[in-house]
Order: sequence, then C-alpha cells, then structure tokens
Amino acid sequence: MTSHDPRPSAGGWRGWREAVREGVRLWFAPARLRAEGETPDYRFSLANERTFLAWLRTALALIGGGFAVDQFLPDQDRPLRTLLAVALLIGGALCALRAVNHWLRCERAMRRGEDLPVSRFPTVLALAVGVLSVLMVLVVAFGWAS
Amino acid sequence: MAWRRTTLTCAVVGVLAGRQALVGGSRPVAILAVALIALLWLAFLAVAQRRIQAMGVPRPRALSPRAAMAAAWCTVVLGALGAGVLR
Repeated sequence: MTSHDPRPSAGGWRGWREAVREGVRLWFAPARLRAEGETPDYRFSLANERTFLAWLRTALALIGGGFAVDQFLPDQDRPLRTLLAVALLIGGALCALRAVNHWLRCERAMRRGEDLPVSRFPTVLALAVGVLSVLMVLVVAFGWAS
Repeated sequence: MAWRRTTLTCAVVGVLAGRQALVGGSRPVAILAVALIALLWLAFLAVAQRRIQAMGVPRPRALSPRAAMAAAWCTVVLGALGAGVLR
C-alpha cells in the first residue's frame, strides 16, 4: 500500500503529510466520499468496481496458495513450508487492503475529475510472486525434505 | 457476474481453510475455526447478494464504501485466520 505514488499537490514534506491525512480520512470516513465532487458516469464506477473485485480475487488466490503450500507440500521442511505459506497469506491480506484503498482513491479521483492514481503495486506483486514461484520450484526440485 | 465469481473464489478458499483447520483432527479449536470461516463466507455472501440486487436497475448506484470495506476485511480476516491454523 505504501508503494502508491499519492502525487501530493504541494511538494515536499507538507505534501506528503497532506496525502497521508487524506488517505486516513478516506479509510476512516469512507462515506464522506459521496459528498465530494460530482457523481461520475455509472459505467466508470462499475468498471472501477470490477477492477476492485478482480484484485480481491487475486488476494483470495494468494491466500488459497498459502493453504495449498501448507497442505500439499507435506514432505518439505516445516519452517520453510510455513515461511512460504505465511508469505503468501500476508501477500493476500496486503493485496485485499490495497484493492479497497485503490478503489477508494479511483472513485475519489473520478468524482473530483482528476487523473486516476498511478501505482507501483502491480509491479511489486508480480516480482514477489515470481520470486516465490522460483523458490518453490527449487524447494520441490532439490529437497529440503524433513 | 464479477461478484458471483468472487464469492465462488471465497468459497474455494474457505473450503481450503476449513480443510487446513481439520487436518489435525476435530478438536474444539478446529471446530471454532471452521465456524468462523463459515461465518466469514456468509458475511461475504450477504454483501455480494445485496450488491447484486442493487445492480438490478437500469442505472445502478456506485458500490458503497462500506460494502467494499466489508468485502476486503472478510478477505483479510480469512488470511489472518489461515495463518492461525497453519500446521
């Protein structure tokens, strides 16, 4: 979630502080979102909602992957297996939180008529999943069996 | 369709989580974990069902922030619960 580029309007420390304050406000008083700006075309909101759900499914897939690692690699060393499973579970939880955060920020940007927020999260997630996959292939192929 | 697909994914993950909890036998803690997982899935299903019904009009309103938060927190809690039932 911290991988977002909030693009603060004012530069420097004050801009970041304002961006954090806005983020907190968005999370703890999300209903105020509807008081901002103008209601966008409903098709845009529905597209944003579908993207949110796609990210939520990604989060669920990561969590399911965590369970799968723990259940279907029983011959592997326990600490290593648990580490992989916990990494996937944490990744899934972060992905779900990021999904709702990004949905809120996109919705707010659309209501205000601003550009949509850009994010490095997809790149970070892709790299993390790639590294974990290679690690799992190595673990399965070369052992560390208990 | 997107909500149904997501509810289905949640159900599959819930089944895997339930299986995980019951691997070590049906102890009281395991039964409690399975009950919590079932409750979480039911909560997700309720959010999805409400949203599907709200979309059955020509110009549906945007998803409410509360529903989005509820769906996301169900996923996060499922993950946290999963970490608790790892072997």
